Amino acid sequence: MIFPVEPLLDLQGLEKSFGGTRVLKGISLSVGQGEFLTLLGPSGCGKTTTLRIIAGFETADQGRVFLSGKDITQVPPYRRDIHTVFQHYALFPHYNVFDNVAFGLRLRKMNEGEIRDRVLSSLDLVRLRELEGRRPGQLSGGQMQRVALARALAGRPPLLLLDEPLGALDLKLRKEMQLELKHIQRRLGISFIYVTHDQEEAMTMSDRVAVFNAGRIEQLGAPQDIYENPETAFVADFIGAANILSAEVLSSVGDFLKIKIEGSVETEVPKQNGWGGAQGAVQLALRPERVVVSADRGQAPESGWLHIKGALAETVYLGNSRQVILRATGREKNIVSSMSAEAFASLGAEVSGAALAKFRIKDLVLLKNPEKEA
Amino acid sequence: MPHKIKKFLAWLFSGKSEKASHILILPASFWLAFFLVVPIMLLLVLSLAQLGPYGTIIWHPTLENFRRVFTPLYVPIVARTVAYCGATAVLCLLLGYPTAYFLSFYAGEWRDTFLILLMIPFWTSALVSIYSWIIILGRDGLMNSVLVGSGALGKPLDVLNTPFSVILGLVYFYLPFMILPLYSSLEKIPKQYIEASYDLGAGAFQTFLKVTLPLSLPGVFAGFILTFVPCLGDFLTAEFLGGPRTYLIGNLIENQFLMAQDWPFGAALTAVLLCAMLIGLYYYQKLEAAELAA
Repeated sequence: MIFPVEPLLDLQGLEKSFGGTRVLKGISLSVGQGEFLTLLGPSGCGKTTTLRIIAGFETADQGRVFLSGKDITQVPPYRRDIHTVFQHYALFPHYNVFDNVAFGLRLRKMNEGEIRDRVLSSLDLVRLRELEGRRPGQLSGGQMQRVALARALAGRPPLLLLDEPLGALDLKLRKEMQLELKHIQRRLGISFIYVTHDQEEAMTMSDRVAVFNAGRIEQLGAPQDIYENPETAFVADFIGAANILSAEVLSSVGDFLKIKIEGSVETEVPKQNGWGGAQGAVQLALRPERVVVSADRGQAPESGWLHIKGALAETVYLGNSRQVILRATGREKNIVSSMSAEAFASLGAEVSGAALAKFRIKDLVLLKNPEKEA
Repeated sequence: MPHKIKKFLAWLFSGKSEKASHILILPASFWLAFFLVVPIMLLLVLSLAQLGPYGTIIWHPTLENFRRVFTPLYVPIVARTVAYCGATAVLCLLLGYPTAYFLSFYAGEWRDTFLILLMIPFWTSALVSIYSWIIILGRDGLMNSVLVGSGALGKPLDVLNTPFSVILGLVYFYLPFMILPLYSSLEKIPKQYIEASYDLGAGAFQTFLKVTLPLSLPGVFAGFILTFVPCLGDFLTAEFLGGPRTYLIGNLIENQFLMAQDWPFGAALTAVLLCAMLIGLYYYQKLEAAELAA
């Protein structure tokens, strides 16, 4: 993304090791004004460490942090204009809700009337004004979460950091809070950096997602972009599910490439979407919802489609959909298909033996070879 | 037969039978009954008896001993004891808080070593440590030798047998009772609270005042009770490091039993002291229960 003006936050080449383990291996990232950016990845990928470096709780071994163009790499957390919503809320147990929210404001030597207005408007934002006198111990998880948000927002920071803030809530409440967080962020125009390992959460809320893996950013882009065009096998697999197929580029013929998939199926693909320079062994990603399983009656593929032969291994009932797992002939990994209930019903009981996985050639996504470790 | 024993043992340690639990608690119950409850009962009975000639005891119930406890004669001793024990608790707090803070936030991998070092005087006989203080503080002791020898002082300081030496001894002995509860309450504060405070703009000192200190108050209170209360009954320290002007309740009681041979009055003094301690411990328990509930 190109910023017409200076980015709000700019990370340049952050590196960090803990006891000889390299946790961050060069993180560079910019966050725009009013942007909702999610750091997504499995545990231990470095997303939380990155957030803690932005907050100032950790100092990077290498690299710089800029906020509104100012180098804040060495600035302590209490002098940074950034507030954090902590994973376990971290509400002060010896203060009531009002005093928790007022904590940061009182340090700024504002007068009590002004503080009162600010605190109440922050509590209004999370719809908890009536609980101002309660102690954190008397609140439910969802209420604590809202108070933590109100406390972090009370000082109107330009940038808010959220460290898996919904992790401890149950599914229904989590969904509600996702939407609410997004609305509050839009309304206030504050930039959010949101850490989560839940890819669905990342998809729902973010303007952009940075997918972390083993201390690096694997891919950075809009949720749809990352889902439709994953660049690496890790991203394809982590965001939604994916079948990763191995293939070999045989030759280049005009506007087409001739490839051989899984050592058996040969086909031609148009040279576009980054297929141009591909050669040798490559990997392809295929989304399960783009795969249809049907009985193998020896039929030839329709134009633009490919078939992989195998046998039906298992089906898993998922309520609104059905996961169908096909054991492909001569291949170690299974092919997974996600079918709607109707499509599965029309398949009927006829698939008991030989079966086919059918998919469109255009649904194959070419993956960049994963970067080798430095 | 071994089979039956095996079965009995299995039943005993199953953790399910109420009868088994009674059997397991029996030895300790007998111990406590015979060596704690019965003596205290005897003490209470004794406190109601009268003193006859030559230290004999006349079993004729009276409240005279308790009336004597509250006569003006003993007010200075009670006041002195409360003052010394209060001073001891406050000094322990002033010395102990920074130590506990250091242990919790700075000691790092050395923490266990420091904790063990802290416990060593605790495991040493009280007499040994008291005599060590006599060796250090005496007129020809280590401190005076160094001060006079180096020319810092013209003549040796008489610190032994003063309130100073008694309170020093008490602080020395009761300091671990302050540090350990303080340390445990500081340890219990989640680091996230401290980070949240920094995050909201509070510097290190503001964070200490507004977050760490208030959250460690249960430890301060516990430490205060755990030093103040046992200090009330201390007599060894005042006996060896003090003099006639540092006479405490503990010494008064000791003298009734060993010198004056007035056991009934000694028993009454002990009963009153015990009551005062129990009230203190009751509030300590209540506070601890409240902390657990929070």
